[in-house]
Amino acid sequence: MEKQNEFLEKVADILECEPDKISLETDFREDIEDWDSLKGFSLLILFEEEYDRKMKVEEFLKCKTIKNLYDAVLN
Amino acid sequence: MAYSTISGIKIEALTACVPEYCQDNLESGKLIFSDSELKNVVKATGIRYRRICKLEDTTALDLSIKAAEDIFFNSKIKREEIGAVVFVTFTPDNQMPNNATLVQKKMNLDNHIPAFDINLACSGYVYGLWVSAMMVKHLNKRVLFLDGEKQSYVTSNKDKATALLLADAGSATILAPDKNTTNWFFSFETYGEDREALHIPSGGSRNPIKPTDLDYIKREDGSFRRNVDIMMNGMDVFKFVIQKVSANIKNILNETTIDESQIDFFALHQANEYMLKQIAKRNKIPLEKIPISINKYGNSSSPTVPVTICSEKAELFQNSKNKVLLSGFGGGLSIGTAIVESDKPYCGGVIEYEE
Repeated sequence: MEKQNEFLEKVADILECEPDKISLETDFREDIEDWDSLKGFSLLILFEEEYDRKMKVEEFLKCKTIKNLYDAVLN
Repeated sequence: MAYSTISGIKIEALTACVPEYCQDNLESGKLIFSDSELKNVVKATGIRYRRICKLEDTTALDLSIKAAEDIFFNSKIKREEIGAVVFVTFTPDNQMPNNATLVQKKMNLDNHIPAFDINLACSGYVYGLWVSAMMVKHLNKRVLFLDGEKQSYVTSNKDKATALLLADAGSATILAPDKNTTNWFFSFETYGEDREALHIPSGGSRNPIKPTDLDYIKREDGSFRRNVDIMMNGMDVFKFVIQKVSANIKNILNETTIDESQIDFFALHQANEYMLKQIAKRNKIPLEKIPISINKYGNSSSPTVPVTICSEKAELFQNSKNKVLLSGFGGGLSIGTAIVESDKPYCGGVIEYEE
């Protein structure tokens, strides 16, 4: 649970919103009002630097919700 | 990390020049983005307007000469005092000969001077300052350093990665000998292995232009682009800026033991606003110390550095002493960062080129 919260906090920081505004169910492209590809790039760098997980753009494009990202990065 | 220290030079004058014609991204972007996409792209990149040459016959050379003429007209510097011309550009008037020799002719400069171009993209302004500073030291004369790009003729207006980003601009800087100035510091990094992240595939001697290179080809992301147009891999460039450029700025400050608080402002290449904010965040630089001009002019490659100083800091630059960190980064991939001190040079601001 702690891992999840930490992940959500870090993602929220990049999405420039409060952590309680997002959950694992959030469809980040649709639900985040100011979503754009630069935030997507920032997420990929977050995964690489903080979770040692290099995700390719193609793989990222298949992720829809924050849970998809969480599963791909931490499992 | 390559570091270089140069003393005994000063910036004597600086003026930037942009085309009068202004394109509104909220209009031109309709070609490639939906309304909501467009709104988000403009918000994230911070680029609402871009200046581009309207006429085929206007070039980076014209913009830069206009900036230089402003200096000769409005400051005490005389053209007879110019001892060398350096022109940084990857969009010269001709492939041969170079722009600098044409500047010598068009501006009626002395025949007995060296004049040459340097081919660099976004990091070019810092390279030009470095080379010009070394020439000032060796010649003991003033150097006219021009930095200009006309990217619009190699940009597809249907390319999602570049169409709402790239712009045209020129600039002129005059450096002069001055024994009473403090050291200038430079740092450079080169990542040739990532050169394809930002490049023009056809048109050089490796891939001479074929008729089909002029066709607009549909690309993976739905963009249309010719092989003679600038192509950019957004993710690769983004990662380079966020990681390598942020670290480069941190390193030069550490190496020179100059604290961020001693820098009056950071004149950074205007890649896009989001990236500038990320660099600020990683280096704990207050945002108000990073002037932004990309919203008005777009990303003109290396001239964004002088354009930003002229647009946002002209008065401060002209009226007080400043310690400025300048950094250009991009095509190469290449980074050039400098810390210079200026002492009230002439600054003509951003002037417009009428077509």
